Amino acid sequence: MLSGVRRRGRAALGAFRAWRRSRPFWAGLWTILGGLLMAAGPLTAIKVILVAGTTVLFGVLVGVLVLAMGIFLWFTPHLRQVVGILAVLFSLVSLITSDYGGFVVGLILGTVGGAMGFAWSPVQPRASEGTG
Amino acid sequence: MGALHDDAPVGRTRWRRAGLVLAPAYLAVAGLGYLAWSGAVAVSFAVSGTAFTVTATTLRSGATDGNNMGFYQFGVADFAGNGTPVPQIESVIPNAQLTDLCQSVTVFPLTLRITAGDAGTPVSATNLVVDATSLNADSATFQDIDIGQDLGQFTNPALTEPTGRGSGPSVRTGNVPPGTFGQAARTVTISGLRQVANGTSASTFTLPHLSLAFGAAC
Repeated sequence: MLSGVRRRGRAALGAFRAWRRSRPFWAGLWTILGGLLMAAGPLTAIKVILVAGTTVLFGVLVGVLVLAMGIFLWFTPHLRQVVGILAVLFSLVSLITSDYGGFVVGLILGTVGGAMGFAWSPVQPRASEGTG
Repeated sequence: MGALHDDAPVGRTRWRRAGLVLAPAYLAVAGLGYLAWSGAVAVSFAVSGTAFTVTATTLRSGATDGNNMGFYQFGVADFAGNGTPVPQIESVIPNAQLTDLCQSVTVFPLTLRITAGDAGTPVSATNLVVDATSLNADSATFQDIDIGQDLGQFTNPALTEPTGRGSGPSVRTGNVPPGTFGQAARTVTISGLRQVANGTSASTFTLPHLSLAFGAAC
């Protein structure tokens, strides 16, 4: 019984590992976290969105765009170069729209994540020597 | 170990290629930072909550808007997620000049502190909106204040307020209806401005002499 559960758990872990290694996983994760941080500041101010209007909305929008680019890195890894560059560009825009790019931390995560996504590439399956 | 996924495609990050993207990106960040520091580029800032603090030595309203007013204050009904109206007092200042602006955010254990407008040239803010219930000030001086002003009659530009239930961006907004009680003034000067806990403010700022560092809260 117990060994069955353990085997199934190990199989799930292995499947996740295969999924993670077949795409720019860390690039996507940093990009998603960066987008969340960018959107977080303006989102707290949602009360005054009603009066202040579009500038606050833009701040949220840019963060959501960066977050979406992170999700694209995960689920459409073949588009990683375009998506990675877009993540970097949207992160730059966030400096002006989203509370200094999520107080700079989101900006750093978004640019590093986007650049990592751009620079990720699959290696020959036969040549894999169990890295990372 | 790897018997389960021998044929799964595996990838890795080419760090030199990442550097080729990051280098121009951070050059652009430095350029934008310089433009913000010199006051050439305006940045949006909107925060609320106990983690954020905003202070300024003085706030002075600048040029009046199309209605020949520099300050509006009125009550709005914000709508909570379940549709319950929540009364709030909003102050709107179309053009404001702030000296010694300080903004800080505390995320345990670090405090990031941003200062600007402390070297002669004040910070200018466009369409500054402040949740008035959250403001502390040492003194406030108004010129030509109309208390009990019908805010619905201002159309140039029109003031907006929420008109439907929902929260955040999904709330519909419309012009303040005729007969809305409020006050408007041609100029306002506030000294010792301090946004207290859970205050909310939003604006587009130009930030001369911008400085960003880890340090004490404002």
